[in-house]
Amino acid sequence: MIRKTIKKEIKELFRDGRVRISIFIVLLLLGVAVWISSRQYQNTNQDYAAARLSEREVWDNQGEKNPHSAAHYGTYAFKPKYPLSLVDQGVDKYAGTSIFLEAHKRNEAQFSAATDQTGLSRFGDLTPDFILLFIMPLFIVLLGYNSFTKERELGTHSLLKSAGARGWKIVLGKWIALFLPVLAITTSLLLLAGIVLSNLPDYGVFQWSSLVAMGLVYLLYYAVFTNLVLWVSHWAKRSGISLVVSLSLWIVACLAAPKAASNIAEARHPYPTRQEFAANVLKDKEAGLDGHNPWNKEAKLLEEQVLAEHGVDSLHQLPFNFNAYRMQKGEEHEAEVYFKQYNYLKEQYQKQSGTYRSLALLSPFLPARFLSMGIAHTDYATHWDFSDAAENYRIATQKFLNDNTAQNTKYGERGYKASADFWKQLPAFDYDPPCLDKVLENNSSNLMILGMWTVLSFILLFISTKKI
Amino acid sequence: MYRLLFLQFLRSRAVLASLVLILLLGVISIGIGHQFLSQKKAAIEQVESHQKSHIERNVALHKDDLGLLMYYVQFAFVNSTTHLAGLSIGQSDLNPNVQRITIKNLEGQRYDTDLVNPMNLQSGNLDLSFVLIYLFPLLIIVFTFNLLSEETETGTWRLVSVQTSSKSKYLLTKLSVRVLLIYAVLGVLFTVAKIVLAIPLDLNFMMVVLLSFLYVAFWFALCFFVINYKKNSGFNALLLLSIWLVLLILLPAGINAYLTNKYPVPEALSTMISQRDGYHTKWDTDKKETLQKFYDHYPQFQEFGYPIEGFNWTWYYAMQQMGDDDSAKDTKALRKKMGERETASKQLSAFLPNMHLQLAFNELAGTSLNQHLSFLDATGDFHEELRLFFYPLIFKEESGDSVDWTKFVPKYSDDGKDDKTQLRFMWPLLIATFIMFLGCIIIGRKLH
Repeated sequence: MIRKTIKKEIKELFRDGRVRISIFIVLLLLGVAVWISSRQYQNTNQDYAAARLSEREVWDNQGEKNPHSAAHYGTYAFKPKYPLSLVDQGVDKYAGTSIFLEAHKRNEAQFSAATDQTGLSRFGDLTPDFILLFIMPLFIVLLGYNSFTKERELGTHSLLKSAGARGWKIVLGKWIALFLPVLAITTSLLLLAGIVLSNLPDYGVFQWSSLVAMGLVYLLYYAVFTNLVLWVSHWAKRSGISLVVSLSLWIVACLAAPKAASNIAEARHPYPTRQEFAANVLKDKEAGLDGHNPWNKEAKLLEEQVLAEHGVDSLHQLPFNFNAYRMQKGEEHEAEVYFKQYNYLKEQYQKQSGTYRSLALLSPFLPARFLSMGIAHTDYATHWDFSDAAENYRIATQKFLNDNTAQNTKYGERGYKASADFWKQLPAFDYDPPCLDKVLENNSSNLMILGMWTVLSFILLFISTKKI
Repeated sequence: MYRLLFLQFLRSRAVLASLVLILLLGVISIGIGHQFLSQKKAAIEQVESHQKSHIERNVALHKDDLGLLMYYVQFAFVNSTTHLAGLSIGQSDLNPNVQRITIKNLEGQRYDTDLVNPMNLQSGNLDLSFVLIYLFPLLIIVFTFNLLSEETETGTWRLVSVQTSSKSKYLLTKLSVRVLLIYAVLGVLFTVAKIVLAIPLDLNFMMVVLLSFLYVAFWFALCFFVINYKKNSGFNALLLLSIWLVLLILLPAGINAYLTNKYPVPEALSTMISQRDGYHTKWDTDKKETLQKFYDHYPQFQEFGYPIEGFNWTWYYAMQQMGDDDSAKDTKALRKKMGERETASKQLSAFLPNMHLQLAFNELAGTSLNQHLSFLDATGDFHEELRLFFYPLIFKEESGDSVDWTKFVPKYSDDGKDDKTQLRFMWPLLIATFIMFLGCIIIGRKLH
């Protein structure tokens, strides 16, 4: 019975012009999306490779220079692109791509692509994730809305009943028939992406396991939609009604809920304004040591402390340059201030993510979105991880520079310049994103919510269709 | 008869449910707009109070050294948010509406963004413009797809054709019930929005309302055109939904991808890097050369000569100026490209009512890219004004007390938000609607 139902449904689907057309459109869109994204990807990667290389070259060839001048001159940390960002671009467009690393100051990532775009960009981009997250569920709605209603409308419903068909068998047959095309499209897309990615040079480390994990997330997501659409089709009396209701579900889950979530998250746990943030940083900074200012209270305190530690009574007698030492201590204090203030931001961000999660109860779209971005290393969490890594590198760089001055000069000495080959000794910035296990662990609640959606929607479908 | 048609229509549960859903989403979207406006308002109030205390504190600390004082003092420049922005948030969640700048090098400060969760930006805002542009067409489709086919499918069409003098008149009456209902919903939402968001009844608001009514008319005409082909309900629903999908999701995404690829902006990064080089390499270059370049730009300050011994503010600010001058070319190129992008967007979107409406809303509400660019330009002018005021004072080594600080309150930019002749927004929509109407008439003649 199940096999027969599947066969019949698939035959009907392919006989139907709309299905052929929609499959064609979806495949075409996916092709175009992959093509556009891979082109964009290659361009961006080239730009980055070039910027990174030239930036490091500038750093290495600064010539003889005072290390603290170099610290102010600064350097950039570039956020690398990861292979799976080809499939899901996540928040990359909005998050900024390079962080300026300089003395005394932690900066935000700058130059997000979105700030240069017009209001049209809010209509969405033609990227694989857009198709996978928005269009595929719609595709399921269009294929499945009349799965049961057509039987009623054509009168085959009573035929089935009188043939003594068991409800769950028919439902399962219909389910598989609806899911098969989706499965085929998704698998072929991901396979294609996998082959493209593993053959491209300089594409970072590509892992099939991540791709498979991503594929599974999407399949769970589609299973939820398949269940809901079939359930609606069973519940509704006419095809028109079924279409309208399924479509409303799609609108609420994919369009309205994510937008509402963003506004609610922002309203309930707002980020401080730039000005507030700067004022807080300044206040905390002033409460401690300023590396450039030998006269403030903290500097005097440090002076006494260091003198006592080394058992000498003048800064000139120290084995290192106290000015540079103080500069380093000031740097450490500032780093602490930024650590504290950014932690507050991070807390707000985590609370906002909590809001998203609670709205995920209304929308299976949200957990799927978060998981997909997480696996692709294009989510906000990875961005935070990157910006923390850049900050650690900044702190290490400052120490490297200040220590050089402290070791090689005497207190009160001015105009010191480090030798031209000194700069090369600074290790280059290198960032590794969290591995798949870690990502899944961090997203465990999203996994749970998506799993819950899947299980509950299956239960809903099979219980309500016990009697057809 | 009219009353009966109304009752018959409203008896459908699907109709009632979708009406409730759209009203609910509409009201939520207005609430979100309200939230957005009050956040912006709070931020601006904060700027007002902060600037005063900020200046007072720094003047007290550094009044003997104006050069040093100006190193620290920030002046706020505010892009005031219109009330309409609550209806169409547009790009204003991406772009900061307050710039706080010192008279130092401008390029490094101009692109500072607000602190935001990029996830929120990516999801976008549920503002009324979204409800209007995306959801109203769906509602119209739901209301009209079986306008004619339900009669044929339930067998009442024959009855109708026998009993009424004109079939098309009957259909139009049926349609007008739906039109009235949707316009009523639209009217309710705009009234609520006007009251909640305290939108002034100015030309811009009128234009928004007018454009929305036209947009709804366009969709009704489109739907009426399709249903006149007398296909069955399922086919109509699918065809209309596909049109919706193509117009609202696929074409905009495609056009957007095209524009981004056609007008790439790699200059952003190079602008920043050249700006940094322009400024930082000057620490180690010949001071006289730096000053010479500065006087080439501002000959009026030549009297301050070439002080090159040790550190002095004339040279320091000359060096800051170099950073801007060196990146001026890149900045210009970047701006030009963004301008081109905006122009191309507008031209292309004129063919798509929904895209046109979004851009028109953003512009009327002052939340478009263009308006942000002119805000950035105005920031440049503001910065220049400050520079020209403070440069001579610094170079003359005046004391901080010689300046009347009370006049440095946050300044507001009001560019491009006045009522201009905004009628041009109407044409593309009017033409599209007209074409659809024409189509309806032609096909109506053929079929009946």
